Amino acid sequence: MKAVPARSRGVNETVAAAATEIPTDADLAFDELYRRDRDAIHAYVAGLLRDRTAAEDVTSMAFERAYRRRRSFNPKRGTRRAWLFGIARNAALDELRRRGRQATLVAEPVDETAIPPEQGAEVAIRRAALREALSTLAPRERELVALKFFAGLGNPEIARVIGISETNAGTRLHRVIEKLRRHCDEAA
Amino acid sequence: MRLREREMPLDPQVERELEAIDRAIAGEPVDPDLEVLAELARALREERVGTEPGFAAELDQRVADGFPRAGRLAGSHRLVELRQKLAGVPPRRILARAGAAATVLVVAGVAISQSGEIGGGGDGGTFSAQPAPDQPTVVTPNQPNAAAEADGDATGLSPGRDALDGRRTARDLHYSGSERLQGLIGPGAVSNFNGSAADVPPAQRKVARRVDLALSTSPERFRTAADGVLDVVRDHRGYVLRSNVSGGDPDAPRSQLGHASFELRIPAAQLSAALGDLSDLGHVVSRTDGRVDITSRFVSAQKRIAALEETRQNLLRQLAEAVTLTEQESIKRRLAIVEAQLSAAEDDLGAAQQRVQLVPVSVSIDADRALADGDDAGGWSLGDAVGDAGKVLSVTAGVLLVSAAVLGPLAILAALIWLGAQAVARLRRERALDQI
Repeated sequence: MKAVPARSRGVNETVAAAATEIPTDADLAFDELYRRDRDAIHAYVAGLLRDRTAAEDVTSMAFERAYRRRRSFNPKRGTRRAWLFGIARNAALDELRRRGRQATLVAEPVDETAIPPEQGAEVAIRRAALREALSTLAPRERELVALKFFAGLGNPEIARVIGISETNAGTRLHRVIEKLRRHCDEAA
Repeated sequence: MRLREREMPLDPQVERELEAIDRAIAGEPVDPDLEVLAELARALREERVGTEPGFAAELDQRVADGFPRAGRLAGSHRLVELRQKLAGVPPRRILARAGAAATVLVVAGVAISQSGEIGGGGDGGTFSAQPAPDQPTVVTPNQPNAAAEADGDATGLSPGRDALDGRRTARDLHYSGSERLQGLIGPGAVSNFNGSAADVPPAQRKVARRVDLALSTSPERFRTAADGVLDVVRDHRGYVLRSNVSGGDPDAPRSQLGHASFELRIPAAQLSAALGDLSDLGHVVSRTDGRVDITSRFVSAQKRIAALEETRQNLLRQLAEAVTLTEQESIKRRLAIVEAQLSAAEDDLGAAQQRVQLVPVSVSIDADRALADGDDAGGWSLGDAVGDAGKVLSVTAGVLLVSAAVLGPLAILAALIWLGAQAVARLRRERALDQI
């Protein structure tokens, strides 16, 4: 018996899904890097620039550069995180250069109201002293603080980002901590 | 300096304090004597600037969209995509691909430049034609086809005319001057005989050619080639003026290999075909084609003949009217002199005509052991292919060497400039930190 081809019945809509690119390893790695280090990068750049608006611009620029170069990352030259912070550092330093040509950088005023009142006067005084101590740091010292405490990088990664040895990074970091501690003690 | 720093271990106390800082940041307990330090680390950690939710959401969106570039045209977008793709490719791969592309281009260029040389076995010798720019080729009324003449097929009268043998019969005495000249140089040329050589139009100018042809052949084919010259001459109704053939033993030492030279005369109308046949006898080493304009020689001979003819006619009239025997004898003597001069002038014109009609062709053949038997037969053989391939490879190598000599220093210079620019940029960035 010969089968007669029949038109489908009851179908009045065709749903077509848009073709999407299959993400590559570089895409996936970048996505993971972004999700993990977005806040760290922003905190580091903000600590270096001391300007929230500029920090947001530079953070955005750094991630865009990293995205464009994501396929050229070479694992032999360090971790992906160090590579990303290197890009952010270059972007931040470019911003500093640009600003240096235009006007002297002015530190953000300390927002006293940012300290919760329930922490008490002693805590407020200690934090004010710390901020005062931070403002006395040289830019290179402040960068170390930003990388270590704001971005949460380990000493090997700090060494890789700023281009010094790990021992040197540890020594410099210790010196900065000592300096801050002395300043805070004197203030107390 | 960095090496020294790496070699020097950290002070144990410093190392202990750094570890305590790391533990404090990670929220882990530290030794009681380092609690103050841990407290400082925790306080510093709290100083970090948080990300604004609005900025975070905006950045998340841009990342999800792949950082689109706003306000770009379609063309430039494709350019950007291409640049991104290139940026994503490791430099080693780009270099490899660029090198491969450059090699293909160089080889293609060499192949194109060599295409005129390769192919056609036996014709790799030099060829030079030397027509004088101020000596145009000749087209007589007998040969109106200018294109055919350009190949040497028409340079004047056809051979075998009565005037060429230089003999005059008694009947010639009754020819008028114009008839005689027409018999000598053909119709059409006579009309210009009263003018100077410069007045002769290009189509009627007389050009004498000369061809020197040097061939080489394998020792085994030397004798055949030498005999072939005679066959070619016979086939094209020419003749051999001189010939000299020596050697020809294929087993003879190199210094005694065969050598042959021929001095030929080939009718101008047959020259092109004859040269083609002669070239097929061996490998053409060189060919020289020379041309000389001898129109002035023609014109002066014509003028001289016309003047003598007129004088002769006058003398004949005087002879018919002479009454005395003495007068008749005197006129006959003068007539004999004029006729002798006329004969000489006609011989001169005939020789000039022969020079135009019969082209001197010098052919030399040398036996060359480097030519394998059969390679010089005119076809494109395996030996020719090997030779051409070697030629292409040697030229390619030369081009690559010259390219490397030019591009090498440029690449080094570019690399130095790039490294310098990188160093300067790094220095400027580092300096920015010190200038805050």
